[in-house]
Amino acid sequence: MEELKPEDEKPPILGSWKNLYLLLVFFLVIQILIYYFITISFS
Amino acid sequence: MNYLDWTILFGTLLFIVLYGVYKTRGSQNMESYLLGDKNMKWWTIGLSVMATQASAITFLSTPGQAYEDGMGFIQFYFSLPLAMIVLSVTVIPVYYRLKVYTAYEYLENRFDLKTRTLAAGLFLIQRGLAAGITIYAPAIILSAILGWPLTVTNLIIGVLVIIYTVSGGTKAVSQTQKQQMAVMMGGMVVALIVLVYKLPPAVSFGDAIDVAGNMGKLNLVDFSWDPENRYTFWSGMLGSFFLFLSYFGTDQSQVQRYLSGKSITESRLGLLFNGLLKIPMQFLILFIGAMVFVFFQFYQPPVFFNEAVKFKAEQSAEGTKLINLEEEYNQIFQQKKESLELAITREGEESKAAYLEAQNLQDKENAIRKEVKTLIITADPAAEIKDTDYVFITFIMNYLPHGVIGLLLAVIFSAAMSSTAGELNALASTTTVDIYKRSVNKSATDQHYLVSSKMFTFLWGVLAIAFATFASLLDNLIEAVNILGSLFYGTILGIFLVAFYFKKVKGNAVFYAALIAEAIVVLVYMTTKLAFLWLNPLGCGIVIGIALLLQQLENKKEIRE
Repeated sequence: MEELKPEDEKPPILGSWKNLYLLLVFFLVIQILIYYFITISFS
Repeated sequence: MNYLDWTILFGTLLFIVLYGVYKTRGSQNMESYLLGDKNMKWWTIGLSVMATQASAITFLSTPGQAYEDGMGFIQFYFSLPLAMIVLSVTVIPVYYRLKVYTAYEYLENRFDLKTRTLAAGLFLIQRGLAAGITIYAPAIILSAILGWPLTVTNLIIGVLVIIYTVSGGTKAVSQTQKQQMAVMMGGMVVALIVLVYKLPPAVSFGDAIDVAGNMGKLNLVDFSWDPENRYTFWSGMLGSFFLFLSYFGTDQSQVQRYLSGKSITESRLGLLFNGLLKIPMQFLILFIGAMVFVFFQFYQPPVFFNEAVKFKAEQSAEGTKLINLEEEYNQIFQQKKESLELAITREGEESKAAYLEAQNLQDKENAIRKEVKTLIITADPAAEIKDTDYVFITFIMNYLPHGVIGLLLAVIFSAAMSSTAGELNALASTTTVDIYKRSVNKSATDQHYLVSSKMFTFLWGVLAIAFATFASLLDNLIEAVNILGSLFYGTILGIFLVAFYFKKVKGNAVFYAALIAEAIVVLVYMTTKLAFLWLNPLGCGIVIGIALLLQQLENKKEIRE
């Protein structure tokens, strides 16, 4: 991984880039679960 | 359309164009023109990335896809957030450290000039043709519906884009894309609200969801491994993950959007913003298609949505058969409508039985549509029988109120313009930086390169319009351009993956591997029936494999020497 400047070392929220990526994955999983729930409601 | 629709349509488009030109007035240099002075904030980047990808076909074709096949296409986008994360971690810091203008500039730093020129050349061919299609594909549909000559529609889209893209460069593109996204999203929300409002009084929003679900349109996620099912969770994830990595990581039309970020943080947040919002955006567009389907369960749809093609077939020897099929279709529609009205007013087993009856009648309708398409092809073998692109526009023109029609047409034109602008900006950058400045005229002034960039933007714009205008003269052109994209994307991605992840491979190995991989991909395409989507990972895998092998051989040769 490339070294970052101090202002790029962490995002403005959540304290670290890893936390932000995990949040995005979390939202993705939640969406997939919601869409799956909709799908099985009618199958 | 009436005066209100025309006012809203052209007022919106002209406002966006003039605003873009006004906001980017003033002196410029090459960095400000191509990279927006590198001071874009994350929300501008995120909206710009989304607007560049969302062409008019997204808004014309995607609702039609949901109408016909249900919402399963959303699975294609599930891997996009993951691709954004990978690019944020690996690609963005590298591009920033090297202060590149284009993705291909990085390849010279990593390998050599010939690899950079090869990748840039492949991009220019593929994206140059795609820019023409970005204009042509919606123009052909709009021309058919509005009764305008194709050339006029091409020119409206193309000339408006050229004006602000030549004038203001990257900044103008990004600024106008913000407004275009607002128009696109606002317009689709309005369309959904009006659509639900226009359902029969007896059909509530909840009933509409029930009908869509029971008629198989809310088939969002399929975890099966069924190879005959076009859209499953697995094919979506696997098939699209590499495509998104390649498109967002190596295609200059996207790279340019986030290279204009104020910092790595802004660029990363912009990409992650895209990763967050893209799936809900596609859900909205697909859901509108599902609701259009519900609408046409209670209002008679045409048996074939491309009225011009249907009319031509009706004048032929197959005309009588076609008209008879249409009458049969309309009768089945009435029966299905009654079944559905029963289904939503009853409960339990009665409702289930009514839905089952409606599903059977839907199957009969689908069979008639298939017969109709066969008749159309018999009457005219060159006719386009895929009519899903005309479903949403037919609904807009025939059922939405005046004013909203103008707004929705503004959505479609905005989408065409936002994508074309991103493409022209990228084509000009690559031509100027990777070809002209690097190899043709190496020591001119910054002002000279600025003027060259504007000229190349204009030239690519003219080429795109010309290509769009002559596209109708060639058979299966859109298919040809899609094939071209699939033939090149895998190789380009392979070059970049080697660059990022296989540090021991050098310029010669990857260059010759790319040439060999390209030859193999073309051979496979010409001699087998492998689906286009698989050409991407194939090309990519071959580049990596052969590059590693060639580097091994070169290392052994050096040791022996």
